[in-house]
Amino acid sequence: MENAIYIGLSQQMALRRHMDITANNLANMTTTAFKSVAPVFQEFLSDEKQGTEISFVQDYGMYHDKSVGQITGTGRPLDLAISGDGFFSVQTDAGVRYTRNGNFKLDAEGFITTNSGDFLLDETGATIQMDLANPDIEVAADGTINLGGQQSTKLELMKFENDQLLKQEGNGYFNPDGAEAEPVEGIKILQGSLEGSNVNAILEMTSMIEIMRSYTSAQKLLDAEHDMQMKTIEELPSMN
Amino acid sequence: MRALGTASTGMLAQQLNVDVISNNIANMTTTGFKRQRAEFQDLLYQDMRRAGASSSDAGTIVPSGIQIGVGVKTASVYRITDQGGLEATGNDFDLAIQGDGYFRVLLPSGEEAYTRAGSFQMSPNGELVTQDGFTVLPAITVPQDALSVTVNSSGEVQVALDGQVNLQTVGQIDLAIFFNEAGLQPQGDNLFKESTASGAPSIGVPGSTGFGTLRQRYLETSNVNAVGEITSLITAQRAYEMNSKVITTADEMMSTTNQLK
Repeated sequence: MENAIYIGLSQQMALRRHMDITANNLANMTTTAFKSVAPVFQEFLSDEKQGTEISFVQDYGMYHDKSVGQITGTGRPLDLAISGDGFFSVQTDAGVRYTRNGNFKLDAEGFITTNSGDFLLDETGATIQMDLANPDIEVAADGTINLGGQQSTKLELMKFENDQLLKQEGNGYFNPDGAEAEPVEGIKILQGSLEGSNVNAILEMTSMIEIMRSYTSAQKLLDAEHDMQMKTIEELPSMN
Repeated sequence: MRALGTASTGMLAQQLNVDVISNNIANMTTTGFKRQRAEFQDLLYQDMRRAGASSSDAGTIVPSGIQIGVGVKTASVYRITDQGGLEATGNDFDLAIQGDGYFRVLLPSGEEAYTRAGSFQMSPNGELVTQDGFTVLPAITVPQDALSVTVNSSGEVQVALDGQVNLQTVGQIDLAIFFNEAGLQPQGDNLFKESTASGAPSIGVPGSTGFGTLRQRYLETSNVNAVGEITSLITAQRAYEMNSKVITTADEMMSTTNQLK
């Protein structure tokens, strides 16, 4: 009897989550290397004894849009953008994390770190220390970085077979969460640039309007169902 | 609704973005000013449905779970220390640094501060001082009867004295460099102080490896790029508007719920 109400509610719950995700995308419109997220909905069939099937909405998972954001020049040597599919490797207290945010700093000892103070890793998995006597940092397109003098090393650039499995952790970090990282070749590092967020404002605004309208119509459904029940209650006793 | 809080973090971030941009624009003609940029990062994520959780008793798993982010935060506001333009002033005591390094300044408190603004003056007793009258280190005294003062690219201060053929060296200006100059603590008045993040200064002669050279009678202008700042301002304003739209929509959705009979 109340199935219509439950179906309406399942839609409203899913829409609220969709709204939360849209809000997060829009809040991160100017976040460096942010990847926008979209929810994936599916029909959830409930087997009714009478033979009629009822379908609820279920938010099943989410999809990360992995397209490269707009790359803008900042003119700072330690701003690195990745053009192509790949991640920088960063050593955090909780283990190795992957990020596309190339806004790096030098710490007081000359190590290259992220904004959170975690160390950038080179090909061998070691941290990278610069020489103060040679402050001109040059990063080549293939990720080779000069350490001063004749020494150089190469940044560790990794990719994943299925990067949808990566878990977002905030700070632009992705947790591999069991997924296997493999070295990537043939992508380009652009020095003095940062990758912008790939949130598409128009898409997000349109989806927000859609969410709002669907939410209202689900509400209408609930109202109609409510009216019907009221009517039943009022009219049933006078039937005999 | 989470969306309300999320959008408010977005609005706060854009507000700070505008604050940083307006400070850059306000300092467009400040000597030796370095533009700043606000860097944003995504905030925490809440796990609504974990990836890898089993979705049936046949052993299938959820390929990608649901993680809902709760907004944005400011990671840092950092200085971009690329070279500003050089402006010819013709003043003997105007010095510009081309390349890396900071002039050292002795504050009245006895502490050392660092600056890129080389618009120096003479004190009543002939010492080289900043616009605020703080001594430039190492202290250099120019004799009262000096006809002209020359500072060469490696920081040697030479004076021509009446009746003498050769120039006389009266001092040597040195520079300080830091591992992480973005970590210097700004004090206002174009001055910076050493911090834990910047590391200890390493002091050397202009022109030696890693240090910039000096240009006498030039000043370093600010490195603010007006076009770039205005474009960022437009982006920030639009992003602010969109986040406020999210709040309106979330509010409308809640009001719809409230109308439930």
